[in-house]
Amino acid sequence: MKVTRRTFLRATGAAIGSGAVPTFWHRGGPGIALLSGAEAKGPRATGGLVLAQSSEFHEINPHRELWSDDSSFHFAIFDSLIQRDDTMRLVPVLAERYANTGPREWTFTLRPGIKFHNGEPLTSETIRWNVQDALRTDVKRDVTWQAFERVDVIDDRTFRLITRKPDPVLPQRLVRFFVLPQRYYEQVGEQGFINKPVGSGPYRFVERVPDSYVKLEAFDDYWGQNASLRNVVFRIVPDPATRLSALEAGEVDLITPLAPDQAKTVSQNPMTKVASVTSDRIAYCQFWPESPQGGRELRDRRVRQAINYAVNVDNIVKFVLNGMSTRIPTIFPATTFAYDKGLKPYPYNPDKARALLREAGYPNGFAINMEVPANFILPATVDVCQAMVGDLAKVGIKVDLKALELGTMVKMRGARQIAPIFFWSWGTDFLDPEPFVRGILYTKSPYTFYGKAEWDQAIDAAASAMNSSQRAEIYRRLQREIYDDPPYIFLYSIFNIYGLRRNIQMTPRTDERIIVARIRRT
Amino acid sequence: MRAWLGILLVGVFVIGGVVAPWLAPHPPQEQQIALRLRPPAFLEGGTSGYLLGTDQLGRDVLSRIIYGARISLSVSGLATLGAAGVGTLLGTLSGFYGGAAEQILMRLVEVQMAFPYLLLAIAFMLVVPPNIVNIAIVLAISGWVVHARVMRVNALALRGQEFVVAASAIGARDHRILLRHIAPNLLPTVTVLATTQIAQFIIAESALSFLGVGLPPSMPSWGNIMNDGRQYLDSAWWIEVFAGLAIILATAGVGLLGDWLRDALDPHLRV
Amino acid sequence: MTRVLVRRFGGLMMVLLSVSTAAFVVLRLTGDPVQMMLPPEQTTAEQVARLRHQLGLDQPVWVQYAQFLRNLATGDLGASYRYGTPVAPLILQRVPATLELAGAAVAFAGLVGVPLGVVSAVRKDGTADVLASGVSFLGVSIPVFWLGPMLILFFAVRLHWLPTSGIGGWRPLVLPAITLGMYPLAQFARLVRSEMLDVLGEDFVRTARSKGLSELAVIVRHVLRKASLSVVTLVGLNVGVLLGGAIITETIFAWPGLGRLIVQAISFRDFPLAEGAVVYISFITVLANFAVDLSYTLLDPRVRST
Repeated sequence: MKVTRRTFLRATGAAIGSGAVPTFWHRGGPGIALLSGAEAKGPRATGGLVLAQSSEFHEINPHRELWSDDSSFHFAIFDSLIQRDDTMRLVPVLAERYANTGPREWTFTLRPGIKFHNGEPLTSETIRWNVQDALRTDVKRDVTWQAFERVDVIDDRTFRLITRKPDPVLPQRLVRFFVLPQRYYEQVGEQGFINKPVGSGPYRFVERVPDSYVKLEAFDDYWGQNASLRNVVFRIVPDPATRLSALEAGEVDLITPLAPDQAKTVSQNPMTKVASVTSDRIAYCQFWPESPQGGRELRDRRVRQAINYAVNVDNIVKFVLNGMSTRIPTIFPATTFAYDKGLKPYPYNPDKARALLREAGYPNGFAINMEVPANFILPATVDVCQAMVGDLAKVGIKVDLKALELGTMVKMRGARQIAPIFFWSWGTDFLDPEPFVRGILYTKSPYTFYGKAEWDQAIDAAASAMNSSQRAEIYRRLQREIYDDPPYIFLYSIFNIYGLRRNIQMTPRTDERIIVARIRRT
Repeated sequence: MRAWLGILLVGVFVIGGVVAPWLAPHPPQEQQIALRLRPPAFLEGGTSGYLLGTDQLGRDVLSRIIYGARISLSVSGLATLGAAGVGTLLGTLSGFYGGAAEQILMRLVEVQMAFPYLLLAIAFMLVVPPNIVNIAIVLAISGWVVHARVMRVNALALRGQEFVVAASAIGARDHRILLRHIAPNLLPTVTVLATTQIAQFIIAESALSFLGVGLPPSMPSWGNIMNDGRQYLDSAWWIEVFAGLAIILATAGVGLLGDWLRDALDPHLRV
Repeated sequence: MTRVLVRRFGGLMMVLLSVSTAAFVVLRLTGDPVQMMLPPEQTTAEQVARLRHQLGLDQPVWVQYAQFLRNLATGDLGASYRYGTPVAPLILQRVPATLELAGAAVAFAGLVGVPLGVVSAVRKDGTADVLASGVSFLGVSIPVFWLGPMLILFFAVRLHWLPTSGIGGWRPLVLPAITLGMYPLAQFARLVRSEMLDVLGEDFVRTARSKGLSELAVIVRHVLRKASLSVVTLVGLNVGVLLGGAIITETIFAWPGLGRLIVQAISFRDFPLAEGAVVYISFITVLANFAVDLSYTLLDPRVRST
């Protein structure tokens, strides 16, 4: 059965009918299916595609841990109940429809006749087992699944998913909850599954050489729209210069990530082109006035404001990042729920910065330490920080910048030995502020380095607010407050940038996913 | 001829490094972000005042390479001093005295040779702060073995030589023999070994930068400049090419000097 | 001979023990694997404690060390923190590619470096000598991270002769082998040159010449044979570097070798995997040097093991 406008209304109606139900995420929620049933399968896949990415796959079994780097592979061979289309709307995929039928209860109806690559049918029982597997504690399982409690099977195609607590972001959570074949998994065991994964997605697994490549082939009996390209190879090419060379030589069709400066080269070459979009990933520098490395000057709000005035972020975006980032006024990405459009980023104003420093009692500035991860997921982090150091020197703040290996920084942050200013980044495909503020603003989080009791209350209030406009209002107020009393140097949302051969068609997505099945060759 | 070329190259870099503040047209950290990635002045699109172009933050490539000579040569020089000092001392003593000391040293050498060095370097640099001294230490840890091995053999050979035996027979104390008779004879070999090593260390310093465990990014060591430039090989080749040329010329210069020293001082040594 | 072997074996065990202890200590100084393994922003203290317990990291260090040694003695390298699977297969997976690259690099270095050395010794101070010395100078002076990308830009992007990176067949092997082999090539050339210059002047060469042997026969039969001793020694000394130190070449050419495995293991603080790989490489290095010692007896009957 196709998901029509009517089923969409029914799903929403059911949700509304059930009473105390958070409705805010339904905005643009379950919409028209992106993959519309067996009758619209399209022609069999032909041709091939080679992608080059920077890092080795972390987890083949998606229940173990979610990594952004793995998701293009996971979306090719597995399916999940709900996914996002290219415009980031949540759409049912394995689920034909779903509704929030109680505070902790969600009812799903599966599409009929779905089969895994090995012919095993996908039913409500499969989902029940998957949830059970995701909650195992004897092996590594991602913490995201801890929100689940259990599945009650109603019939082959209908089941109820019960969450531990009311969970307004359950649909977002389910986007990467990939469904694995129970019988096959039990037969081969976890290691056997990792060696030869089987899913129900548009591609099936062919071969893998660790740290080198993974080969996939289109799955002809896929229940939905057939993939366009038959043979897909993911290659691991760690060095950015080599990746670019491979694209220019025509050895690969798509490279990711592409640095902003490389984008210039790629767009100038007639055989290649750039695709980019604002990401859900943001960059910021966190302040820690109580750092063992110093930084007591940051206790004064005026000093933190002065730093925000002193750093010429627009210039950094324009030049160092080749214009390929979007400046944001706080740490709320422009793509997120409750983003306050009325707030304008700190203007570049070194005079104001000097005045604030004078007021705060530092007419001659001061010296401070700053740390940045050297090999980070974001482009040009060290350059960006060096540019900031240059700007801060102009208002008398002498910054001693260290670029550290990421693991070392993670360790220092965990052990609370990190510098009073450090560069960091965050992205969440939930496209909701809750994980952000919970992680780096909530004072009970180990990764918050400046916060306030009032803010904690606001964060808790928003998390349990069932009314979306009320929730949005809390977040809007929070954005204004952190703007005035900045816990961070507010920077930018990065772009997800891809280098493509000219004849490749691919829609870049905010959530960093590459959906291989939808890539075409012209 | 070769010797003169070596002396000339080394001289240029050493003097350039020493007088860097007067020689460099710009401070090495000075950024002109709006002037980033400008080609060398003598090419189309170049900006006068930036002879070898600018890097990704609009810093003068020439000035950074000049300061880089100072930093990279200090690091490798310091590392060589450390390696040669420790290696020679341990090698000579163990060769001279033999016995348990020698056994222990030889085992230590074997362990050091068997341990994948770069990994030791990475792990070490993750623990200590990245500065010139620590980089020099980590390089010296890899380098002392060569000296220890060669010096042990040389000291062993010298111990049996007549003038040493004679000195010993007339009742000279050990430290006197070591200082007066053995050390002067080892000096040429040490010098030759050390020159070869400086060249290796110049490259090793940049390898550490490549691996992300080198000097802080603001320090214009040659390794850091090259690491910056790698991203721009096809759009702003001048960063990588000129820094690479500096490394190649400096190491070649030191190498030529080393060859000449070897021929002059210790023709039988193989390095 | 047996006594020598036994003593060598004892020495080998001592070296392995020390290397693995060093690896154990150094890695533990670099940080906390648990911090790296859990997504920090969503992790509770209980989860951290549970994981730490699962990995045995809540034990005192000396207990961990004793356990590590006990496992090592039975040939068990433990399970990778990151992958949750035994370490040995993860390492062995990488060995074929690693050996392929190391072998090709040495072959390239030998096939080019040795003739280069021979030519420059025979034509000492001639044009060939100057050219050959130039090449060997460049070989030691060009950093691999400079040479590699240059080769890619020229041979793969401009000329389309060879692929930029990857594995499969001989074509992707050429550029990394040249990159990795350049330094040993230069060493070989210089070593062969100086060895030959020494040997060419010796009595037995003069005798051979006077017997009317052709110059080529003299070089091949007598001189090269003698010089090959030092070349073999050099290969032995380079084994560790070629296996574990090829990280930069492996990174540039996307070659799935041991070097990258270890660097990744270190950056994830995957102690068992990094320790296992270090022990493995040391083992091979020590064995290789042992083999070099043995080969002396084959190449030059006058050398006897002492």
